[in-house]
Amino acid sequence: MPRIACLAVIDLPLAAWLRAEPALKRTPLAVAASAALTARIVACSQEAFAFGARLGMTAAQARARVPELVIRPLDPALLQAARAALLDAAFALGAEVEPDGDEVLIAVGDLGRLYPDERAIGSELVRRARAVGLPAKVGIAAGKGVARLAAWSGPRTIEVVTPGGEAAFVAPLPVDALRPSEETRAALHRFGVRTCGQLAALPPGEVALRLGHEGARLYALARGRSDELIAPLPPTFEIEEGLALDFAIADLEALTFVLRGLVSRLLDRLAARHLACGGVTLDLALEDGGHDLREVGLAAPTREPTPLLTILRLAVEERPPPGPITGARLVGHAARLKVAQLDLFAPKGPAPDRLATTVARLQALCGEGAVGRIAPADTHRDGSYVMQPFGGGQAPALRIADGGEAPAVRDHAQSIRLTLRRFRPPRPVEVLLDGDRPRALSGDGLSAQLAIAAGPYRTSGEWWTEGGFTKDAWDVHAEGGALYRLARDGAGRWFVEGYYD
Amino acid sequence: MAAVADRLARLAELKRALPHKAAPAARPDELLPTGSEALDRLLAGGLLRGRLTELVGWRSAGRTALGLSALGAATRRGETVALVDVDGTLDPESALQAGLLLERLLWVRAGEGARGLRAAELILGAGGFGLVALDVGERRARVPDVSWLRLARAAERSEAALLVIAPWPQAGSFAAATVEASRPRPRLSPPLSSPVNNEHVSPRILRAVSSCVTLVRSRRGAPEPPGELTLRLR
Repeated sequence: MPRIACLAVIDLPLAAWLRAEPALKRTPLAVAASAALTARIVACSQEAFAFGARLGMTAAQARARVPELVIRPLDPALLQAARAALLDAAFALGAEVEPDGDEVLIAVGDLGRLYPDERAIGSELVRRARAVGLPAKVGIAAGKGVARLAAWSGPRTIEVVTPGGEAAFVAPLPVDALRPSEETRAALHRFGVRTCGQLAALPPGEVALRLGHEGARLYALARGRSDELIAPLPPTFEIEEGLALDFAIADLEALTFVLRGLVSRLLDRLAARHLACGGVTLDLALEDGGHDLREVGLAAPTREPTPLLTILRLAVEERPPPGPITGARLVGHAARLKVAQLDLFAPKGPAPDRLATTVARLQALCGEGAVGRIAPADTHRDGSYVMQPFGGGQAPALRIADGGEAPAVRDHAQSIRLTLRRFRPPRPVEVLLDGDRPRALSGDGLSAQLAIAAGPYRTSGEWWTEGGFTKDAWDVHAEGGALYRLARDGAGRWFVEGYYD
Repeated sequence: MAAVADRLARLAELKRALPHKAAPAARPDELLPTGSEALDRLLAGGLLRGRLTELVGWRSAGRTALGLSALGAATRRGETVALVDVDGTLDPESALQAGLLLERLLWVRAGEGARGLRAAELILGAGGFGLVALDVGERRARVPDVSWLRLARAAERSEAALLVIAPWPQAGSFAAATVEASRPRPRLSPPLSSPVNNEHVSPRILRAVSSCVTLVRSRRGAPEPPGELTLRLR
């Protein structure tokens, strides 16, 4: 039989809230089915239980008995995120994984070479679950059914059932641990069957005859046999965390507080799978029922909450949502951390996460498209460029072998070219010609007699598109000393494109 | 009045009499060569890391060419650099011709002077940049001294060389050195004459510009004599 581990969280609704609000730990906390006072309590903490709160009470009854009780409604988004987090903890071991409600089943048969024994595997699973904020129990046994029983009913946090010891482990457990249907449970109680051992002692044919297919399945499990196979789930690379708010917020500080929790949990889950965040989608639920969706890219994948939170805050600051917010959902795009091979002789460069934050701050300051890496556009049109994301500089450095300068550095040191400072957009001017040569220009704050005019340097291109261009450029030396680049387009209009400096 | 003039004259005499106290020479790893021999000679080896250096000069004297040359030289040594361009005048072809590795250049089009100063401060605060150039453009805007002080302090903390490119000196005493490029003079190609009748057969082409680079002020000792800079056009 394959060895299976079952990673389970007892009272997942409670654990989901404690994960979202760690400050509620050690306070009497109960989770009700809804926010109504008549809603039933579905989970309560040990502290709440000690004060007298019980499952099945209404929220009003529980509050009457325990005035200091904190009651939270069942939040499907939080519950879903907690289940997904448990799955991430399981994926961290790199084995086949099958989610099943509030538990995850993991095929651990192949992990023997990585860990000294199965208890070590269990410890690692518990540690991973704790890292994503969930208190989990682990049961390891042959087959899914016994592993489930070990996780849910075993007295210890890590319960390992030795091969061949399944029947002995299951025998003392109450028959309700097998999770029979109400009808079968009542029948078993009528028969006087209280423990799994008592069920296993019955003749199999008689059990199947009276309790049908379910009875046969429970009987096999009571004897420590379960031959279901793992149905593995492929890992996902979109990690989602969300929170529905009790009341609408319109304040950036309050939203930042909400986002801080989401970011922290998101990064914990990514870290559990040895991944980092390469970008996020922020979905803000608005009071009027609409959604404000925005994509936030990162210059480099990160696991640090502060830069990611800063970038999100800047993104919201730059384009505030159109109305109050009633919920937030954050979808993180998983990416591998960039591992930079540092050079012993080359400078280190900016740290990727700090660079990402700085670029985001600069974009918020100067506007989208004003910050990045300039690159010539794929055209012969003069001065065209494209703005690309700045990645921190990955170009190979020239090695300086003997303490002197690299050859390319020396070449440039001997010949410096004038550079063109481009006016964006080019400034329209009127030009006085002498024959075909410009002699004077005026307009848009410029006025000069031209001592020298060299040109025309003719360029044309893209005639096969509607944006075709033709241009005659002149390098002109004004009598004041400045050197301009003057250009005449196909329509005969003159422009100063910039000056050399 | 006579007493004041007398005291001023004595003060000038005293200054001449005192030996010039030069700052200790910078270690090679504290210097960032600029790729221009003339500029490196004036700056005693290059831009000083952690200090603010000003490069000033009016149109076509070559301040931008020298600035891009320094950025290019830094990128070719493996440094990550940034250019905060207030007017957004950077020409990508010129940058490539200056030997800049564009992958290592963070370009910021700031749009206005105050924003440019803030952007430069943010970049210096990030750390890891070898050279941050702030091209303040040509708009006349009063920059409070405290802004230059903050920038100089940020450069000191990040150990990055900060280069301010401007038409005229702005940072005052917060600059460790100020270099001025001035007096641009055009250089034409030699005339081509016909071998038959010795007449000129082609117009003279604008080939280059010569300008003068001068160390206007420096905290690092006696100023070097001005240098001659030749900047090719095409």
